[in-house]
Amino acid sequence: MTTLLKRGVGWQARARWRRCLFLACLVGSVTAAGWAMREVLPYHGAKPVEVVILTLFCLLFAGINAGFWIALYGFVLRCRGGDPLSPLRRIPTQELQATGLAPTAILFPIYHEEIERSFAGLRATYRSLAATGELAHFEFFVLSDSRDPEIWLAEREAWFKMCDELGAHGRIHYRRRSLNVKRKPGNIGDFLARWGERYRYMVVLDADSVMTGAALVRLVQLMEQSPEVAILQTAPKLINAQTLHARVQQFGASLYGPLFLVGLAALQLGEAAFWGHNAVLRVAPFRRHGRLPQLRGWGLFRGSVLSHDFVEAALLRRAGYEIWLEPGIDGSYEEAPPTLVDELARDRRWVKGNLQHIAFLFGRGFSAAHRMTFLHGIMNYGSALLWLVFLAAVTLETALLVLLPVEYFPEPHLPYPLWPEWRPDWALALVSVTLLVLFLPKLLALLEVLWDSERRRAMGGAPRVATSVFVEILVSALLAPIRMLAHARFVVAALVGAQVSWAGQNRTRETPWLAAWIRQAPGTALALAWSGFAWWLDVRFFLWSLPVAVPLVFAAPISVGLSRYRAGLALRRRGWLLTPEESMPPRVLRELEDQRKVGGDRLSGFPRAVLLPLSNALHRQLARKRRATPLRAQRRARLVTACSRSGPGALSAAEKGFLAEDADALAELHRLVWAQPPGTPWGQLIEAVLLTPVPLPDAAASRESCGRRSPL
Amino acid sequence: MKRISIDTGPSSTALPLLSEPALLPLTRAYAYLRLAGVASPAAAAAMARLQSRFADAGPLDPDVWWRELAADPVWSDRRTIVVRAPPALGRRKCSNDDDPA
Repeated sequence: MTTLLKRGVGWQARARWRRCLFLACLVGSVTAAGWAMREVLPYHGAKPVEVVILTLFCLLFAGINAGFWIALYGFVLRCRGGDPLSPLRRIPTQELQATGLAPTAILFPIYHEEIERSFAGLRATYRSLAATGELAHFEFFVLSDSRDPEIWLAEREAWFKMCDELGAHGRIHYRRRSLNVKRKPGNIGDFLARWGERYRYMVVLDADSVMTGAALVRLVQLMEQSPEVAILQTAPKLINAQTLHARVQQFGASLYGPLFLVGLAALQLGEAAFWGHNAVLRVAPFRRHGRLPQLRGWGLFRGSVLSHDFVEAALLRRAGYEIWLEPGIDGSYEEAPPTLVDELARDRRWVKGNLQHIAFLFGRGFSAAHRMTFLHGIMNYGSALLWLVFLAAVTLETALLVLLPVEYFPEPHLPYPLWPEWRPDWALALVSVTLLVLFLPKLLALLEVLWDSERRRAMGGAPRVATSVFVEILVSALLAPIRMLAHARFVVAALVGAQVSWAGQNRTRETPWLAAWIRQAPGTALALAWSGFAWWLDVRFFLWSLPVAVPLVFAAPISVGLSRYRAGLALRRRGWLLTPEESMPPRVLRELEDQRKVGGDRLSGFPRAVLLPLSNALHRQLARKRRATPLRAQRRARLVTACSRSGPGALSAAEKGFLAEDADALAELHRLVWAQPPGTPWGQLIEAVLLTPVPLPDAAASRESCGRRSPL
Repeated sequence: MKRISIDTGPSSTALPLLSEPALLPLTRAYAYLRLAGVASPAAAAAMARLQSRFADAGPLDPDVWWRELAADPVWSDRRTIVVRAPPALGRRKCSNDDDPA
């Protein structure tokens, strides 16, 4: 088998050269900008507060400058037809197409997700894979960590219904852990311990992921061609954005993403990061070397690793395997958080996880590239706190200049006076360079789209793309200070050891006004106080503070406005913020959209499991067969009586879970509740069922006799 | 007992008969069969049998219709739920919640 390594020049030498060039550009530009900033400061860095300002400026400028150089490099590579070292370009297409496949598990870990959406994505992926004719090499595993019985009972039904529809019994499996120890990594680990030996590869999907069959097949073929690669990560495109917030993120990712991703992949090469989903992993090395350590420090650095994916990639690289990012594989999709509130809730988890990577920064044996990945992840959120401190330092510097008399001889024996000096020319140059660094990648991405007629049409035509870029920049500018303050708060909370809850994402709800005002009130108050103080100090400083203060003052209306479906969909109808996946959706996304339109059931999971005959039969089969101890029998009898008399509302989640995991209890409840008189809680539920048209299953659909079967 | 005409349409189980308390057991039995995947003609035929059996009976005990239904031949027409067992376990060294290893 030909390996990537044997094809032409080894990638490591090229990686060293590219990274040296990148670092030279970065250090050079940050040094120049730091020098300019020193000139801008009134005492040119001679006072302690100015040293703080200068240091923070350099760190923050390095962050945005790194993105600039990566995007610029990506632009250059794309103009030249892509990176010749990328896996897809190094292996001839014909050779790749002729490559056979190997047993592959597609994992779908879920935790309290929106069931209809999650299974619609899985269904679309399955159908797309079936259409390739290569389904025989793949098996699907829905790995649930859901704890609320109302949710996991509904998951089971959705899974069974999906298997019925697709004829996929025996190919799509459902497994729920009763103890979700170590969260998602523990869930994957549980799969590996049980079934890992059966598969050479596993593709990990997220609850909102969709992948085409062609992409899955291509991933496995690439892995078959490159045995030294442990993880091959795709670059998922954002889809299905409906709120204004999500549409702005989706448009931004669609327009600017290709530049950044190609640049990033070209710098990382075989030492890329793993993003936790929409990637294929080689099972054997992952089982052997991907074991996550338990952190044994204090506070933040104690317990499970939350952002596990970066660490897993670093561990596998340490063991000698390669990790590649391949942005050229089409057909990999995920969704953006619909609202700012959801995005920040996710970021809160990520902040803690990324800060934990401090523990791995100087870990033994990790590659320099993965140390940089850790650092980048830390700085992604750490920079928010630095920005906040930077603003505080600038405010302090201004206050000192305005309120205190100028001290010309701060030290008694100075031979010459020290006075503040303002250099507006340097300040103007610095602002111009900063704007260039921030906006040139966006302009290059816009140019690229305008140059490519097909992509330009798919994004609504030149005027709409240009207007959409303006909208995206405006919204990004408004969101930047709000995100900064939230991230800074999260960083501080993580460092002092505040707990972070683990919950499924909201993918549907808009942000209510009251909740937004309450959530944003501290930031609004802080911004009002700050800008009021700035006004009192100096009008020019007040004007300087406005780009940060105004978004914070109006954070609640911004958050609510961006969460609105109507606003997002209105822009879509006008062709603004349009992406190629919306104007020319591939088949897999059309199927996903059709499946999303199918409404959910009115009865929730537990009443369905008790009441509906087919649901009851299904859950009885899937319930655990447990030894009937006297204590257990006693508890079952008590709960069955309480539930049948007082309805499902009388039970706690734990009690519902106990009954739903007990086949005998489910059978007894089923018989009892159908005999309840009309006025009782169950009687009312039965009436609701009878009065509501319930889609009936095809009676002849599954009268097959294989596997476990259960009479009602 | 008042005779009822049961909708044998295939699309739904909605039966506007609940205002007739005397018919409740039969309504439930019919709905139960339909929800259990029994085709509507077979369910309607079963209803006719039950109705003739209880023609001269007084108000039905809540459990009676259930027992009668379970004894009726239509009971075997219910859909059978088949769950394929997951693949056989590999060599499993770890407990439910162990690390990948």
